[in-house]
Order: sequence, then structure tokens, then C-alpha cells
Amino acid sequence: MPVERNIVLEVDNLQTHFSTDEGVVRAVDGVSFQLEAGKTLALVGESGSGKSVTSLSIMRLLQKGVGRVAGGRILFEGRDLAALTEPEMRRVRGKDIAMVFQEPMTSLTPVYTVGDQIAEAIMAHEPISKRAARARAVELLETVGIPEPATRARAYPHQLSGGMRQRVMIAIALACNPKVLIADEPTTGLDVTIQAQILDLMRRLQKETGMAILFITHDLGVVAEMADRVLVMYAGRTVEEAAVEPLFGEPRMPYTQGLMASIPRLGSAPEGVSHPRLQAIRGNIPSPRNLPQGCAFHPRCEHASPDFCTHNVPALEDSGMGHMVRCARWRDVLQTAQVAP
Amino acid sequence: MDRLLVKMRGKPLGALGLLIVILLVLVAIFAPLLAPYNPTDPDFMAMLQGPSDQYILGTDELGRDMLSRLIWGARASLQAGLIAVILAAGIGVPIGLISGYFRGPLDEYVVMRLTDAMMAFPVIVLALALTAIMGPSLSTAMVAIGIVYAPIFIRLARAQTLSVRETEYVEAARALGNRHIGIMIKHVLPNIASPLIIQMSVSMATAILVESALSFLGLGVQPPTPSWGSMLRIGTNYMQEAPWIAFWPGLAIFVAVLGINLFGDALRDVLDPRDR
Repeated sequence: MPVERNIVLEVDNLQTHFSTDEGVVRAVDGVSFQLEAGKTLALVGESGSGKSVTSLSIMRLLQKGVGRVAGGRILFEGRDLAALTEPEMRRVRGKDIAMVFQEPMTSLTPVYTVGDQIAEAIMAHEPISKRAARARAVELLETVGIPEPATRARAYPHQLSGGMRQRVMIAIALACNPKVLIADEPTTGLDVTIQAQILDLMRRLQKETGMAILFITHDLGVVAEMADRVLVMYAGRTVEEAAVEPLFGEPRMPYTQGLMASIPRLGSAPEGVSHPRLQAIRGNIPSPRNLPQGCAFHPRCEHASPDFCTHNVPALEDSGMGHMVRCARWRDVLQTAQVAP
Repeated sequence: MDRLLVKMRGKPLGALGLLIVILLVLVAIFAPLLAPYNPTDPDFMAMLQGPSDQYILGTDELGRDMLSRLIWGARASLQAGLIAVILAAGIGVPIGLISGYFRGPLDEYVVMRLTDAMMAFPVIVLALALTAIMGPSLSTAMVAIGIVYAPIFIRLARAQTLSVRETEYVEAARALGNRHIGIMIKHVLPNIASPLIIQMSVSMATAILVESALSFLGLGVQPPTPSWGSMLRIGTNYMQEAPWIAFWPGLAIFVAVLGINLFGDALRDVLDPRDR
């Protein structure tokens, strides 16, 4: 029985280029994905892989004159965001697509109370009196689990802890009931227990509102907890995309395997065996100004074949059940992985 | 406002500054009522007299009452300081804010180079040029000071904006669908206000000094109207026989500048939300 899929955001072959002194840099090169209502898609990758640029491209917040969307389409409920005028796009920002940023410590304006900042977000998109907006702000603070919301609404950002501030950021993002929430590493910089609370909160709110979440992170532990589907990016391209269980259970792209192997695990060593060393992917992510020929990952890949991988960019192919892999040798890689203990 | 006053109470120096500023403003406003004599009436029987019962602070070279001239002089000096600084900030802050917010070649090659050029210009030379156009008067002096001080505010507002525009809360405000103009007024301006207020108080103090210099050169307040600056300069001619002529206006300028600086310093602390 085919399940009705309610796709709110579709990114199709997105190309984002930055003009620099050394020429054009393809920060995002042909990324495509679909975001369903009520689901979470995680964008995973190292710093510089193009995750955040993807989100800024969607919001059309790339710095003018430096970065631009050079190709592809971004459809929000079937509307191409690239074709909107700036005033139309402003109505989308915050109202239809909201963002939560990485740094809760600096994402709030220091000179206004948090209540005022939430109220401002509401009033930006709804014809509502200041008094009513303030009342809504207090309700929102309660929704995001802030105790004594009426008192806290009168607090300035510096009077709140990092976790509290991130809750406030989420309250601001939720102010206009957006259909898509883009969370750009929302838990980086928070300690682990607070991280868990924030993730719980986001999951609960998603259940209540049915919003779609685009979750940008480099933390695979968070991905496992949050995501329905995962898209792994490397050097501006999608290298693997799958639902969360197959991706974690059977990563098919050597890069994803490397990422998985570099997560420390407790008690993973069998008895009598000394703890295995933590695997790291050798080398560094290549500079986007100077990508290697062929598969961008081949200089770091232990499966790379000198004939093919160094000359050809593999296509993103379906390895079965919608598990997309960009690797010419994924079949061989999979076999070795199964043969190895 | 009431919170402002409550905060001020906890800062004795700031309160002193506020007291001085209020006192000066009152003196300037009520000069006609406070001055015991007409400040421009000479008494040729009592020239260069030291402090006495009749003339509490003495008389100047034409026998005019120093106290009355000092009281009337507060008008010209405060006006010059206040209006010149408001003019300078009024011109400079919007230009600096917009220029720093949008960056680009206009900012880099037009606004910045023009401010460089203007900062290289001595205030007296510009005042001379303006006087040639508008005729010498207090308002000419104020406009001249305002224009010469504007680049300071352009630079300061721009520099502060440059750092604030990169902050995440500005990006977050954009992501919420705010307009550029709204972000500039509601998010950038309040966050760059503290240094601007300090700069205004410092500039106001120096503007009073510059007005004094201009008045001395005959480019500002015209005799016989008194201003602290013109009184001070005249007083230097009589340092030997009548030192009080230079002393009193000098003291007045010193107290005014000190008061304004103390007040501005305290104001910054009060306006900083991290301190609330």
C-alpha cells in the first residue's frame, strides 16, 4: 500500500557557487532531496562539506555578490523560491521556513528581552497587537519548557543559560507555526544532557505541529536519535542518502563507513581483546577551490581504484530500496565489509 | 526613565555629572533672571577689578561683570556643544550605519575616502570657508563643528556596524523575514549605541572648546555677546594684572566638560543591558 507522501520542501539539483579571488567555488554541487511533513532529514558532513550553505541557499540568505544559487530548483509546496521577489521571500522566511542557529549564545539580540524578541517574530508576520503578541510569547516559552515563562519573558538573553537560550530560539522559530524548520547544528556548544533535552523538545514539537525538520549536523549520534532519513555530504555533493536504519546498519559509501568507524563506542571490544584503536579517516576534506579529479573522496579512500576513481565522478545510484550511493565500487566495498569480521 | 534615575543613584560620579549638566542647562535657560548685570554693559569706573561685593567675580577689561558674562556665556557654549554634536551624529550615524551594513564599493571607495579627506581637514580652515559663505555667527560655528565632527561618527558607526552585522542575531533576524531597514534600526542601532553615546559626550566637550577657539578668531559668537571661549582668550591678554578674567571661563569650561563626560560615562553603563 503506497503511503501518501506530503512533500513540503524539495531541493532539486542545487548548485551554489561562491566567487572568490581564486575563481568560482562550487560549494554545493548538485544536491537534491525531498523533505516530508512531520519527518526529519539530517544533512551530515564535515565542516566545509556544504551543509550550511545548502540551508542558506534555501533561505536565500547567501551574502550578495559572493554566493549565489547557480542552478537547480528549490520548491516549497510546489513554489520555486528562486522565482520569488525579495518581499515575497521575506514572507516565507520565519513564517513558512524558520531557522534555529548554531550559537544560542549569540543568536539573540542582547538589547531586548526574550519576550520582546519572540513577540517581534510573531508581529513580523501576523497582524496582531503588541499585547497579544506578548501573551503568545509567554505561551511559547511555556511550550518550549521554560519554567516561570511570564518572568522569563522579561529576562535579557545574558541572564539565561545556553540551553534556555536555545529553547528561546526554538520558541522564536515556532512563533509563526512554520512548515519547515531548518536547524543548523542546534545542539553544538551545549552540554550533553542539555543536548538531549533540546532534541527531545524538537521531537515533541514536531509531533505536535507536524512540521518538517531539516537537521544539519556533523554529530552522527544526534542523527541516529533525530533523523528519519540521512543525507551524507562530501565536498558539496551527496555521497549517500538513505533512511536512518539502513544507513547506520549498512553504510555503503566508504566515506560514511569511515564516519561510522570514527565514533567511539563503549564496550565494543569482545572479551579478551584489547580495545581497538578508534579509526579515523586519513587526510582532510579537500579545499573546495581545489577538488581532486574524479571522485572527490578518492585520495582518502582505501577502496579507490587507480583506473576509475581518479578520473571519473561516479553517479549517485540507487543501491536498492532507495539507498542512494555515490561510489563506483559500492558493490565491492559491501562485499569486503561483509567478509571482514 | 525612572529606571535610569534609579541606576544613576548607584553611581555617585554619574550623578554628579548629571547634576552639573542639569545645573548648566538651567543656568543657560534662566540667564536673564540669574545675571545680576547686563553682560554687555561696560562700567568704565570699574575696569579689571578683582572680586568684590559689587562684582562677585570681578570685571573684565571693559568693566563688564564677569559673573553675568559667565552666566550668559553658558548659553552660547552649551548650544554650540549640543547642537554641533547632534548635527554631527545626525549626519554621521545614518551614513556610517548604512555604509557599514551594506559594505560594497560605495562604502569602500566613496564614503571611507571622503571621510578620510574630511578628517584631514582642520576644523578652523573649514570654519573659515563656511564663514565666507554664511557670515560669522554662532550658527556658522555650530554647523562648521557639526560637519567637521561628522566623520568621527561615520567611522565609529561603521566600525561598530561591521562587527554587529556579522553576528548571528542579525542573521537570525534576516531568517525571520525582517527588512534590512528594520534590522538596521531595531537590531544594529541599539547594539552600537553605547560607544556612540560616549563619543557624543566626548565630542560635546571638545566642541565647546572648538567653539571657544572659533569665537576667539571672530568666527563664532560676535562681541559683545559673551561666550566662555571668547572670554578665556581675552583673559589671556590680562593674565598678569587680572588673572580672574581667564580663570572663571576656564573653570566653567573645565566643569562643563567634566560633567558631560561623567554623565556620558554613567549613561553608557545604564544603557548597557548586561548591567541591568
